[in-house]
Amino acid sequence: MTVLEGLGAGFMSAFEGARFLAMVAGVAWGVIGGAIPGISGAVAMALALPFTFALDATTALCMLAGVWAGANYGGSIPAILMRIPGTPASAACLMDGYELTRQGRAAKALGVSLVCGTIGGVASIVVLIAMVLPLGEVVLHFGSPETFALAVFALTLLAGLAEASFLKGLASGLFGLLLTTVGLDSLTGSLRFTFGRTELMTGVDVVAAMVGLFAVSEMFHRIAHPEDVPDVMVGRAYTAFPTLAELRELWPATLIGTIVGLIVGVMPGAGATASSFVAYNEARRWSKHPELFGKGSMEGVAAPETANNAVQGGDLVPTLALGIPGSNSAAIMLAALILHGIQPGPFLLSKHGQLVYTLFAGLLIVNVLMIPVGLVILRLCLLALRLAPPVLVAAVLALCVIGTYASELTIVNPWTMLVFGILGYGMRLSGFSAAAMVLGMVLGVMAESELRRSLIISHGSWTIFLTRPITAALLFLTVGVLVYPVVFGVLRRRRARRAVTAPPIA
Amino acid sequence: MGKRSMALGTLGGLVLAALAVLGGPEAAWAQARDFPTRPIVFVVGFAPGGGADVFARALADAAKTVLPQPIAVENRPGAGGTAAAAYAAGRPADGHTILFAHAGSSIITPLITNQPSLKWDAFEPVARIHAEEEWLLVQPDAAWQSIDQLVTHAKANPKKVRVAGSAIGGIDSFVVLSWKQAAGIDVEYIPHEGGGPATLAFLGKNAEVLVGNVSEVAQHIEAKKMVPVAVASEKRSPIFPEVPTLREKGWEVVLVQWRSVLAPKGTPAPRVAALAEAFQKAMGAGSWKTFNRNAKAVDAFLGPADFRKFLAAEEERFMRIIDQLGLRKK
Repeated sequence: MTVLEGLGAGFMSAFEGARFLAMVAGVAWGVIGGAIPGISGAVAMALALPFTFALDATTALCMLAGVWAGANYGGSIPAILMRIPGTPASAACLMDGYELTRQGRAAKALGVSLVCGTIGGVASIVVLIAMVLPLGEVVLHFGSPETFALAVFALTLLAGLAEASFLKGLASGLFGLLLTTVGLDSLTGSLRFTFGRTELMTGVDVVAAMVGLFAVSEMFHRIAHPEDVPDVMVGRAYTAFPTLAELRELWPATLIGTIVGLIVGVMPGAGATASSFVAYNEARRWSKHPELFGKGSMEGVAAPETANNAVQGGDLVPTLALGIPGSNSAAIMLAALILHGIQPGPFLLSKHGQLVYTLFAGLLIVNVLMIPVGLVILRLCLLALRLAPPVLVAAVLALCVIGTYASELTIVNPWTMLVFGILGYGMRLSGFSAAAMVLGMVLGVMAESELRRSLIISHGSWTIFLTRPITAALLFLTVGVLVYPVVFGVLRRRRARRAVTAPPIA
Repeated sequence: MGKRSMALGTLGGLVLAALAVLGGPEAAWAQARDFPTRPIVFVVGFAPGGGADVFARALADAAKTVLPQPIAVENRPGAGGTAAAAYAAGRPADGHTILFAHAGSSIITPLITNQPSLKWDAFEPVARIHAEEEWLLVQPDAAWQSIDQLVTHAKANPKKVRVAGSAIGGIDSFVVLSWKQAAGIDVEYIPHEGGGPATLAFLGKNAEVLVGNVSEVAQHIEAKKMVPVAVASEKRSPIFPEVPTLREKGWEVVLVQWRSVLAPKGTPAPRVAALAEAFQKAMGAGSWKTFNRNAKAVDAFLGPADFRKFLAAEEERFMRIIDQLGLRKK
């Protein structure tokens, strides 16, 4: 069976019976779940899992694929409209997304997020289909040292996230890093900074903390400053799709997002959140208008939104090629397989080829389905925005509590959310960066445990970071990225000084 | 939206209950006993989709054919499974609440965090259900292809052999630490966030040895990406009978990843016995057998009395290792 034949049969099978309906339902729930703060993609999938028991294995997988894709997109709706990231992966897009909303360009920002997300999703699935087996080998080259190097590279972003002051941005990021040391240390089994509380054993929940830092603090802000709420209805259009000319302008950002999403997705231990931040930063670095980032750049929406959808294809590489889940979301796909009596593993493709090809077809379909389904749900979200501000604030806070509770079904998370909400509001008043703190929390676990693991692998020798080519390249890039602006800045100042002293040329 | 899913779940449960009440083999059961009179809540301390959850759902599904009431799985993840234990302990001890338990949730974590009220002996042992074997594996291109050769190599090269496995405090790490001590070798243990990442690290040649439970490694053995050299079970594995146990090599390392059911303290003994009997019967169901085959697990049923003895012995063994590691909170 060639890939195209398999895919053809897959498409036929994907439209069989109720599968298409299951996919529509999956995408719809994914977008809604993703839009609720606290319910990340993996949680939305876990909540949908029991509904798939009654379906056959293929339909179940297609539906879960729909939830996954939908949630990737759904998170950006509240991020753009209300400065509330629905999922951690959409925290990067709110920086410019909400700024665009303030400028009355919410419709366009939502359109860009939807279209670019679909492009990223579809592109990554195409790469997955074409290269799942060779990429399976590539995954094995990403060990602990490589993941550590990626975390270090991503940490350079902290410099870029400093909104008001560089020092405060850095401090916020470092505080986020420090918070990740709370809890059970998986490398020694000892408890750190739990102060005898079992609630702290599993550490500070990043999603709950993020909902607090962004959503709850934003609601506090709206209570304190009711006048500082942008009129989303400006222009009246619900969603304005980017024109072809605009897409042409956005394509470098979209390409960067796709590549970053795929690479980060393939790397074990790094996920959608890291990818969207890295993509945001890379898009700014290569942009013709880097000065617009943070002030309402369409590229600043396009790149992270493309990346977090493109992670899907990358995550599925180890999942399908080796039977080892590439992320929490992929793990739920595997659980669905096991519950339907199918053993995932390196033989999945050869033994259940038809199922895998139907899943491929389903993944392509759901990523496209995201556009119509996303539009419908977007309208509902916009209707909600017409509520009187006090009602809206109360409703959002209630959803935050439900969302953070639903993610792990423990009351600890809503409390975490509240504490971080107060902290976040305080940080906002004093100019500290919530985005930098979330990034620190996401990268902290990655950086610390992978560093320590690398050193065990190398028998304690630090040369491991220089002798492994991918690691060395990433670390070299990191140094370059840090040094370049300093050198460039000095040169530019010198040139500027010379320009001032030199006589003007015609 | 969690609310909606819960409402629909309840609806599904009611339909199941209705179906269960309408005749079938369970009619005889219902006449013979006054228990259970309503759906049984199976509290699982881990998230939906994980190994514990999948196990609980498969068992609940198999028990449908035996019990007159359905078993509803309720996930209460957090604090290494002990959050669920605290929750279950607070529910009525009438047999309608049961708790998922394995070594991590009911022995190791309560010992490490010094919470005796959440340990297995604060509950009534109902039954041990099944177990997954723990394997030691090596690279297919390594110079050592048997456990003896591996140990000889490790003795000659202290600290040079790296073993990948899941986090410290899990069964994987305990297998390696006990084996290290029993065999008198010095190997380096590389802990990972779970069995999946450990397997990836091993496949990427970042370790010489992998320790893992059979469900995670069987497919890779079949794909000839790893070679099993020993199993940490009491007897040789039915899956690879040619591979020796660590025990027959003279190292008393018997550790399996068992999964079981507890009930809140004070649950009447006849009800505990009834539940154990129901699970034993359920393990004969076709759906359970398929699940077990796919999970590469072996049935390891122990009734209430035997299970209690087993747990006491297991706790003593874990306590020794935990103290050697200095993990216990004073």
